[in-house]
Amino acid sequence: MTNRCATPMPCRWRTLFSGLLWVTGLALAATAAADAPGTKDGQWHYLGGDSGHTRYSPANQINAENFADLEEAWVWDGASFQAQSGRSTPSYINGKLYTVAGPRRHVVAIDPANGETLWSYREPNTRRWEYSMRQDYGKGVGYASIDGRDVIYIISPAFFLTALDAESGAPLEGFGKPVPIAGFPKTGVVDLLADLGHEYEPYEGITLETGYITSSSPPIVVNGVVVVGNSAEQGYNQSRIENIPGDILGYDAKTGEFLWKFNVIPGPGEFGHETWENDAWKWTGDISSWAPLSADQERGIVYVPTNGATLDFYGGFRPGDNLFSTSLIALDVKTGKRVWHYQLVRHDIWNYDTPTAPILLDVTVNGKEVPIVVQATKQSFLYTFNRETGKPIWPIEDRPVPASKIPGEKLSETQPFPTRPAPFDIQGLTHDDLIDFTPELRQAAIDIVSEYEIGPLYNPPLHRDNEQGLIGALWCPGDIGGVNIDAPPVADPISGILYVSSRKHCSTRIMAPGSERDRLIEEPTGTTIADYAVLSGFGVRGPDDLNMFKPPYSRITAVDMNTGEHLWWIPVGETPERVLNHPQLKDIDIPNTGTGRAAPMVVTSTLLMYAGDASDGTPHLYAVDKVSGKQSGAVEVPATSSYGMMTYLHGGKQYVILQTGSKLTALALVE
Amino acid sequence: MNLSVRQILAALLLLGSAGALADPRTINDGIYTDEQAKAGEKLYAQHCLTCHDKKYFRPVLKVWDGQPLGILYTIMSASMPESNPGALPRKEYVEILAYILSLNRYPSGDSELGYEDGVLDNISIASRTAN
Repeated sequence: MTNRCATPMPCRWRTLFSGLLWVTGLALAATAAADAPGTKDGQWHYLGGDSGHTRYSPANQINAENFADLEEAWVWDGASFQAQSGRSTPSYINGKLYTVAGPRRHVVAIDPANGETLWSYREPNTRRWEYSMRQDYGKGVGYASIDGRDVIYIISPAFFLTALDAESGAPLEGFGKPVPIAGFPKTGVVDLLADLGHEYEPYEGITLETGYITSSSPPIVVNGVVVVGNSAEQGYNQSRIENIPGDILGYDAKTGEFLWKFNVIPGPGEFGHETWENDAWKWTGDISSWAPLSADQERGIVYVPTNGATLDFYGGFRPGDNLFSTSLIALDVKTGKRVWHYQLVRHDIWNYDTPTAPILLDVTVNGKEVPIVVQATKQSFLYTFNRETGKPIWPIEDRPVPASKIPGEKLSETQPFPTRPAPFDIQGLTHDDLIDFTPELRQAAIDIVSEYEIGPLYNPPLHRDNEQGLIGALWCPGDIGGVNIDAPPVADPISGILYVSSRKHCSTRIMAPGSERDRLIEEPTGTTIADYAVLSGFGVRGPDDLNMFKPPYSRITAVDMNTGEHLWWIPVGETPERVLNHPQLKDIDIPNTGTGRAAPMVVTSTLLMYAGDASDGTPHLYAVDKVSGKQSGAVEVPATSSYGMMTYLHGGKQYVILQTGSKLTALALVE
Repeated sequence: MNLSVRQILAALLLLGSAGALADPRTINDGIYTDEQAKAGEKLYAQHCLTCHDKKYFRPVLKVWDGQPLGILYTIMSASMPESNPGALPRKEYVEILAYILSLNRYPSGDSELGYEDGVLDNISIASRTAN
């Protein structure tokens, strides 16, 4: 943590000399990606803008000078689709907005000028939809131009791939095979279960005893191939060891013909098979790719971030490193073959799944142009690789980590630690990290954590009936610390600066015999109860309704990916009133703590924009200078947003879309 | 005052031996007020609804039958909302709990539900009885 900026913007290291080097780097890097495929002319073809998920737009109508003139242009309400989560970032493609909404994952086309619904598509009901566990978590749509015709692709909660004509919403002719279920269209649909190799029934799906698979992201189309990821039941809601693996599937974008399958759990003879001891490869699963996929269209490579293997927090039944769990996998899109991979966490039992799409940039490192892929993680690392070769841009060191005390659990003795960029948020926990506004509060926080086992990064979970008499372990970051799904990082492909928003958070879980948890699950997957499982998801509250830690509680960090250096950091939003007005903090100078919420963001050629709250909880959109980190504007907005943000240019006007629960809230400049 | 470690330990002990409750009250016994539920409704819409629809707690209360209500409160108040865990005052978490009970048609009563002195650990979750 020695390289981390100790004070908010700008960091002290950025002297005039280093500033000059940085500007030189920008000039060199500016050759690439000014008009990245997907965002040219103010379009937004992928949920992450371009297929490298930078969430960058060259649109420049909204700038620091006119930012205060932003106002609500229209609101689209998905309530009639029973939408709630607001997880989907719309795409803007050739004059229309497309998104998914609600538990049915209706596909919706929207007029970008006024928010009118133009068409919608609903998949017929199936039993496999009824028990689907991430129904309202669709994050957007996939897109391709097929023979000059725009096509929208989605993966449904019931695990069907559907292709729709973008103009009319009609299922695509000549795509897929007829589904033998009443109500399904005769064309346009692929039953994805057919290509996984498990027994299933079209209406019912796969039995829960065998396992479970669904989707919570759209597919990505790369050079005529639809690449399909998937998701599983959350590992912290599981108690049994059997499941099916989240294998990656490839289909012809025009016909829906099955092309390939990549096994995320390698079988005999496949690379990585030896990382599965106890024959666990035969019966366990998950390793889903629930975060969106990214792609390098030019090189024909798709980048797949993966989840851990079956059961979060206990893996005693699956000894070994468990490839390709919690990894970044690069696949050749034509063949589905592995180009390279990197396992970010070996034998993951921390729920350190990769929660956001990998980001692709072209940067200049030590004077040489390099195509990179960056994976931001819950551990507060930015793992950075040459996206063609998989070679780390900066050294990643194996370092020793603590062993588990849970009977039967054998962890990897080391884990990979990136040496650069520096971590962007808390890693591990010591008393120095605890609240210290007053000696009394600090002591109270020490008393609270004294009941837990604390330690460095990769401090493992501890079982309930442990010899130390502790409640459990408290590890940092927790599984909702660092980067997470609610605030995907963004990056400026011109400058090579990546902006990552993070939350300071630690986790604890009560680990008990699996049978105790199994009794509390209504429809468990698998048949064999694990020796241990999560009984409940305890967190730890700070003293007297205050945060446990020193501020900032949430932040945005700017990292120059040409050098790996942090440029600046700022707290997200403003100090909450519950802190400012706290009776124990009278007459104490409280810095901006940040709200504790991470920030959905978008970056344009002129600004970094992010959503946050003022001290009184009023939701705002903030504008930030991309180079200095200084706030250049703030406007009150109608509702709190989460999970993402996008911008597009339509009819000569730039719009910003906020994902506000069931609604989409469009902002534009006052005319 | 912290969310006391004692409270957590008590909840855990109870979890291991449900049924050993000193206070025989259950969530059927009118343990919250209408005012609390009303305040909780607004908070639920603001902090919970994006992930937990209004039917979410129906099966949760069913499978947690016999467990202490305190454990639900402890989990909720320390780990929710997921976007900013533990960010609400304890009073507001109790109001959300009251709203969840009202949403699932458990009766209200004259006494406010509190969180002090482990009171929630002494109330058990139970199937809804006919009014």
